[in-house]
Amino acid sequence: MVPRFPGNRAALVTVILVAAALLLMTFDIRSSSRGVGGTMRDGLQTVLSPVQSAAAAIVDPIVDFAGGLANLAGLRQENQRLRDRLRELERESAGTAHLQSRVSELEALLGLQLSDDLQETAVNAEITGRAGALDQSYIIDAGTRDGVQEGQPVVDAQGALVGVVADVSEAGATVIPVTSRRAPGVTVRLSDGRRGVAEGQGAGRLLLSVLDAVAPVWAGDYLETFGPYGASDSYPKGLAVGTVGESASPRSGAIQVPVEPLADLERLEFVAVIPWPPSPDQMEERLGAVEGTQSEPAPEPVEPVEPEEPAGASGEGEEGS
Amino acid sequence: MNGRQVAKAAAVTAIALLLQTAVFAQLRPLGVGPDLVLLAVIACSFHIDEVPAVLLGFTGGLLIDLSGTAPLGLQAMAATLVAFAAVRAAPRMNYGISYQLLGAALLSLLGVFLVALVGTLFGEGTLGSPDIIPTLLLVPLYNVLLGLVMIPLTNRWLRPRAPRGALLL
Repeated sequence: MVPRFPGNRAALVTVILVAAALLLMTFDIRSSSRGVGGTMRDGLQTVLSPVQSAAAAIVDPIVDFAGGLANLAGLRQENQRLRDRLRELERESAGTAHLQSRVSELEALLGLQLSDDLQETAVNAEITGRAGALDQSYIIDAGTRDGVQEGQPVVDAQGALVGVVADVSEAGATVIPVTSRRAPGVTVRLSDGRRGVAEGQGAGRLLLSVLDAVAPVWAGDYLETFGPYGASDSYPKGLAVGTVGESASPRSGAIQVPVEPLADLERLEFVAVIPWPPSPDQMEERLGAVEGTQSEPAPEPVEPVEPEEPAGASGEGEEGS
Repeated sequence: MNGRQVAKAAAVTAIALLLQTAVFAQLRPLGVGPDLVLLAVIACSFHIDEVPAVLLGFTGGLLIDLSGTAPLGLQAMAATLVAFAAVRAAPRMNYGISYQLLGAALLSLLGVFLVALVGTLFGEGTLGSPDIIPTLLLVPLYNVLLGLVMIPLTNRWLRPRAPRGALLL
């Protein structure tokens, strides 16, 4: 008769399950969350989304009230910060209005006018859930039925980049924050026109790398998405990403500095999913509109404008995205 | 222990998953939320057999993995090991709720630490986060606070009942 050792059996099952979990992790990371894992995530998302939406509708007012009481001082500070930022933007806006109109005109001619169109067609969504205590990904209440697709960028109410859609079900989607190592790197434009790559380091951190750098970068320098560049087309042009966390000079021709994301990733409630890259139909419509514009008699001749080389971009700031 | 108890434990874990992903996604005092699924696994593991307990831990953890974007299997591995530790500690948990709460706190700490450690080994960079210390402290604390409600309810629901007529014998 075979003796029974329930403790040993449990230990054996535990070892098998731990080994299975390690294998799952390896496969999931190697397959970039696609394949069977992605399908299973979609399935669970479909089941959980309606419940999460219902729970969010009940819990949100309570959380808002409690959060408002707890963060009264913080809200005042944030209010002041936003007012300052608004004033700053208004000043910048006034100064760049003329340049913006010229840029818009050129972009429209090239069929690359994205920001306004994209903002108009963006899908608004509410964050209805989060995963584990150490998993910073968000669950939103918009899915394929709303036109959300995997890989689309997500911004907050102020238009700052939050992350990308990882998995989509019919009624919901999971968003990887831009600070996650699993989010695609963001090709960014510094305020002096140089390019760099901001990559998530996990745990809420974002790191800017500028290769072939000659000049230093300065703390507070504003970063926005560069748009499609090389093989990277994960993000459209002009989305606010963050500010450089500290000043740094090139070392061996490269700069690596932390970035403070502009989106408040801890206290997000509503986001917008940007339909990017645009579908071929949208591109055709846009090009058609541009052609229509071109066929109309122009009120005054537009001088051909040479594309300007951004300051400091000559031979520097090239990165290997 | 019978299949009914295992089914009840699975139901407790499923409810915990819904609360975790829906309610405690919004309720995150100091930027950290509790790990309710881990707490459910711990509370149930005090009452069910060893093998069902580790299977419950693996399943609960896997569901949490599936609801987020962390590597699939990360929470599953941590919850499996926590469930195993919980069933081994279960005989010492018969002294009262305070022992169970202390056990839940220590096992929650173990679970969160395992997730952080293995996540870091797999490139998530969790241990290097400035928020890791508050997370390691607050998750067990929140789990203890929620355990004040959840553990007595689980005890009551999962404790095997004396067979009918047993008092007459």
